[in-house]
Order: sequence, then C-alpha cells, then structure tokens
Amino acid sequence: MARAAARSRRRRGPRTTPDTRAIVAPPGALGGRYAPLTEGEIERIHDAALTVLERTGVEVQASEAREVFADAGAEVDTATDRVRLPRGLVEETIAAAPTEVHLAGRDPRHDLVLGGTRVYMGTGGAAVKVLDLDTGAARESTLADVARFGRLADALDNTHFYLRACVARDLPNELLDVNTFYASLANTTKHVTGNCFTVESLEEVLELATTIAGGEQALRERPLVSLVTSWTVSPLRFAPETTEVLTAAVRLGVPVFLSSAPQAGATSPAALAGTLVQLHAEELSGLTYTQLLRPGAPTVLGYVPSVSDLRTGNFVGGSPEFALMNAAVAQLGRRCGVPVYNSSGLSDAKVPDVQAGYEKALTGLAAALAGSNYIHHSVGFLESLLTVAYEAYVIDDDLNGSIMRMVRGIEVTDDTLSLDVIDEVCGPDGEGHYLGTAQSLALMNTEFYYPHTADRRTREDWEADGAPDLRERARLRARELLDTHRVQPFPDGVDDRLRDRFDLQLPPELAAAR
Amino acid sequence: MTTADDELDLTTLDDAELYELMGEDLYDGLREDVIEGVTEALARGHAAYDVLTDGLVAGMEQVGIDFRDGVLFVPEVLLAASAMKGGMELLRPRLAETDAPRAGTLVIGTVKGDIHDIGKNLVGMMMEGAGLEVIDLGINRSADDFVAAVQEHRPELLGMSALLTTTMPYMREVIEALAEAGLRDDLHVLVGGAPVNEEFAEAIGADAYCRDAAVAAQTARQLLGARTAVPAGG
Repeated sequence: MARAAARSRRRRGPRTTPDTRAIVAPPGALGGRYAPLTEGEIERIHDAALTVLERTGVEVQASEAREVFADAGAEVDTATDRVRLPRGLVEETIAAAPTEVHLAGRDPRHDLVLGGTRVYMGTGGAAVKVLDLDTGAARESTLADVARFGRLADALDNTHFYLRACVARDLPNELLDVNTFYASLANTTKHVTGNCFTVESLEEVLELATTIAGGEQALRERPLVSLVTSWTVSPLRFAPETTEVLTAAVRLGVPVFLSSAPQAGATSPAALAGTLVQLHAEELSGLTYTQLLRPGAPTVLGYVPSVSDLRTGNFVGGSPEFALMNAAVAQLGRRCGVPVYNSSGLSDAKVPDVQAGYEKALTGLAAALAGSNYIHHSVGFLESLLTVAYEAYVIDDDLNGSIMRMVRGIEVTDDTLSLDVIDEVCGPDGEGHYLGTAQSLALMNTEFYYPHTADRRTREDWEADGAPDLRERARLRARELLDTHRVQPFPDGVDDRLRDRFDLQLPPELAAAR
Repeated sequence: MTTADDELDLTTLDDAELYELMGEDLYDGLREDVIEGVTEALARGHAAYDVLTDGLVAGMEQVGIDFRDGVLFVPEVLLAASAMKGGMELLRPRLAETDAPRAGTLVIGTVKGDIHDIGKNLVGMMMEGAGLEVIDLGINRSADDFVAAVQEHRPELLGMSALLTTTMPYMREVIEALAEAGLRDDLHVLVGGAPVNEEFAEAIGADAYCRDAAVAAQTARQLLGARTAVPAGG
C-alpha cells in the first residue's frame, strides 16, 4: 500500500515546493527575547511619564476632548490650554483598554491578533514620492501607486498588512480618503490601515468598508479597516482636527492606532530615555482619552520614536538609537497590557542600497525581536519616509521573512537535539554526512528561510546571468508579481455599488478585486 | 578660562580686537558677552550699521559656513542665533533712526490645517541669526492671518511651511490673497516643508523654495541684498 502510494506520487511529475512559509517565518510569531530595558527601567519610565502628565500636562485647546478630560476630573488650565491628568485617573482609565485588538483581512488567512508579544510586519505610509519602476527616478506618488503597492503587498509572503503606501497626489483633498481606501481594499485581501483627514471622509470610508464586509455587523466582527490617527504633535500637544477624527472613530467602533512621532533632540528630549518618557506620556494621554470616550474601545498604542540629526535638524529613521527606542516601546506597551504599533525597517537612503539594507535590518530586527505587535514602515520605505519603491517592497519582504524566522527562534526538543541522527550518521554504518537523512528531508522546507532575491549562486553562475545586482533582481520580481498576481475579487455586485455611490477615480483595470 | 574672560576689560581692546572678540563670542553663543561687546562699540561712538556688519554679521557668516560643513551642530547654531538676537536688540532701534539699510523683517507661519512647526521654528531662529526681525504667526494660519500680518508689519519676506501634502496647496491661496490685497509685489515669498520642492514653489508663484533652515537664511540674505543693495548679510 505505502509503496504503491509512493510510486503514484513519483508519477505525478515534477515536485512542487509546498507552501511552508507559515511554518518557516510565521506571521504573529512570539517576540520579546530582546529587551533593551530592564524591568526596573520600564517602571521608572512609566512612573516618569505619569509624572509628566500630572505636572506638565498635555496641551488641549478648547474642544470636546478637553470637556471629556475635565468631566473625568483632570485639571484644566484654560489660560495655557494645559490639561493635567492625575496618575490615578490615568491608571484606572487605561485598565479598561483591551489587551488584544483583532484586525481582519478580506481573506481570513490574513487576520491579525495584536497583543502580547505577537509580531506582524507590514507596509507604512504615507510617502509623497515613488521611485518609478521603469525609470528608477523619484516622481510624485499617485492613486495608481496606492493600488499597485497594495497588489504587491497582497502578493508578498512576509508582508502581513497593508498600511497605504503613499499619498495619491493626483487627487483633490476631498476625494483622497475614500479613494485611497478603495484602491487599497481593491488590491489586497490583507488588513488595510489608513488615515482620514475629516470626520466626513471617515464616514465615507466606513460606508465603503461596510459595503465590502457585507453589513455593519459583519464589519464590527471582522474589521477590514483600521485608522491611524496622528492626534498629537509633539511635544505633548493634541492636534485639534485629528483629535476630532479620532473621537468619531472611537465612537464608531473603528480600531485606532494612536500615532505619535517625536524626534529626539528636536520635538522630544535628546536623552533617549527622556524621549521614551515624553512619548509614553503622550500615548497614555491618548489611551486615557479613548477609554474615557468609550471604555474598551479597540486602541493600539502608536509609539513612533525617531531621531533628529543634530548636525542638520533632519528626521532620521535608520539609526541605532531609532532601533533601540523602537524596541523599548514594545516593552512599555506591554507594561500597560495594550498592543503596540511602531515604526521600523525604514531608511534614510535614497535608493535601495547597502545603507538601506543595514538600516532596515537593524531597526526591523530590533523591534521584531522585542515583540512589537504591528511594525509598520517596514516595507519599501526610503529617504526618511518621503519615498517608497516597488523593488524595495520585494527586497524588504525578504528581509522581513528573515527577521520573522529569527523571531521564531530555535526550537529545542528531544527531536531537534538530534541525538539519534548524530549517532547514526557518525556510527559504523553511517554516511558521515547529513544531506540524505530523513531529518534533512523532513526539515528542508520548514527549518530554513529561502530568500527570493538574495543571490546565493556561484560567481560563475551569477556572471553568466549578467551579474545582476539586488535592485535589478528585485525590479524583475516586482514586475512579474504585478503582472501575474491575481487578487481575490470583492463579492458579486459590490464593486458596481461602490462605483455608483462614490466618486472613485481608480481606473477599473487597476482595481484587481473588481 | 571663564575667570580670564570675566576679568577682561573691553575698554583695553583696540577696535579690531573688539570686533574680533565680538565675532568669536557670537560663534561661541555667548549672548551676554556679545551684548557687552556691542555696548562697548556703541559707547565708542561707532555707527550701529558698522557694529552690525563688522562685528555680528562677520561672526554669523562663519557660523553659517561651519554649519553647512557639519562642524557646528544645530544646538550650537541656535545659541549663536540667540546671541545675535541679543546684539540686534541693542542695534535695531539705532538702525531705525538712521538711513542705513534695514536688516529686514520676516513674517513666518505654518499654513492652515497644519500644526507641525519644528522646521518653521528652526527657520525663524536662523533668520534671527541672520539679523532679521522675525514675526512668528505660529501654526494653522489662514490666508487672512497672513494678509493681516503683512499689512501690519510690512515685512520684506514672508515664509510659509507645510508638512502635509494636503495642506501644502494652501500656500497658493495665501499668495493669491496677498495679490488681491495688493501686497504681493512688495514681498519675497519663501516656502518650505518636507513635501515641498522647487517645482511646486514655482507653480504656486512663490519666489523661492528653501530646503532647510540654513538655505532659508542664505536665500533671505541674497534676496534682501538684491533689493536693498547692501552687502550680503546686511
């Protein structure tokens, strides 16, 4: 019986490599092994952040948000717009925050469960320039780019969500949000995150998502979209308009990322610990706000600590300090028992070069090993967040696969200790090597990460192939995926309804899910 | 070192030494020492304009060069700018009394819908360092705010910044509002911010795009030089 089955398997023709990605570099693998802060240091930073909120306070202009804080017992100084939050209020209020936030993809295989030390890596935005795939030169980003990056994110194995890559600069402001979400959702079955500039556009985006999900209840159960709300401008200031959008999103039940992005030395202290204190205070003020509005509202702490290069004042996204701080925030978020969004795997390089590679590896690896839950900006980003590139998507996806393999770590079990295999191979009847063992056969697809674009051939083979560098190989793969990848369509009739209802500018041929 | 400085009697220096020291103090960001130097020069009966050009501007030029070359860091430049401002506060009323060319005034702000201001603040401080009077309107400013400020202060320069692509187009509205109010022609409009570039500046009818604070200060000095025919830095 067994031999017959084996024969028939052989007869089936060329072997196809099984899809073992989920085993080799599993989305949601548990991080947390890298811990730049000790437990005592976490406590000191947390306590200092509470002191900042109590003593210095946050600036909130006269608004509904300020009323919410005042009603809860915060001290409001109307002359200086300062809202001071007693530590008891903060700690009691944030206890209501959910420890997990569930985000859905149109395809349930891409669902994310944010929380604990589960690690997901994905794209970020919004860039304002794109390296054109044909010319290689930087140009303004368009709605077509939002769609094409979405399709690439859908095709790439180690990209776990699609946070819209770039700004559709060919659209007027009033069409921007609904078109950006449509172009994203129409091109990927992974979870889509974006932002909304006004409460009106948020309502449009929610109507769009509700139609795709198949109703309000369906969307509530499976949130296909989530919202980045950059509700602060550091240091310690609430941005009035974004706070209005945040307020509406929380009331409407949309999962929100509280994104705050201070730059050490410019908009937060030059001392890295001081930047963490200020940023943690900002996050705690935001979390307190969402939980006062609606206890239990799905909220993700959005720590985005960066650095200002004090030689120029320029934003820096690819430095060792960036790596350290973005790892540390995973620990601070866990201290509160709330999921963490952060930024890593970006670069200040202008093209995907060696600088881009090492900066991305440093920051992405640090954040992932630290157990950050939703690592955005980790695919395709160049020029300190200003530019995104198709070939960089492909390269970074391989990098993130390698990182996720490292997060998964080394399984040490009776089997993997391999005592019997060693004894057999090295024994009197052994072959003296492991290439043909049953263990090698069993593990060849699951123990090792095989990058798509890294070149591991001999020099002779590489030269015979025209000696292509990584960028060139990645461009080829990006083009191939964009040409051949098919995206699971929306349910029947949905696209027509969306196009009837909204002024959708994406050409139908770029709406893969149509 | 500080003891020696403290004991230094400025009256014992000749004019050349006094100006050299003023330039060095400015470079080192010693605001009080710069003020003392300016006070001493004025006490000797030197014209405010000469103190400005021979003492302060000469010092700031070295700061600008060394910042560009990566020798000085932003915090050091800001200290120097603050020292420059200290000296200027003494000189400005005297400059206004004479027919010496004005150092210039800049009105600056972040446009409506945008409340990101670190870059704008840096530009403001560098402009002060270049000897300009800076009127900072702050963040989230409407076209009306800009027009009113230009009417009130009659600056030579207007600076606008935006970090977001969604707020950037508002700069054009400000320029149009200035034109409608008949104020545009008397003004150099400078624009900046991460997503802004040369092409955009030209398209909206601005006079210059400044990619960073150092370039902004340099541009301002060039523009004012062209207008008032004073040496660069005047």
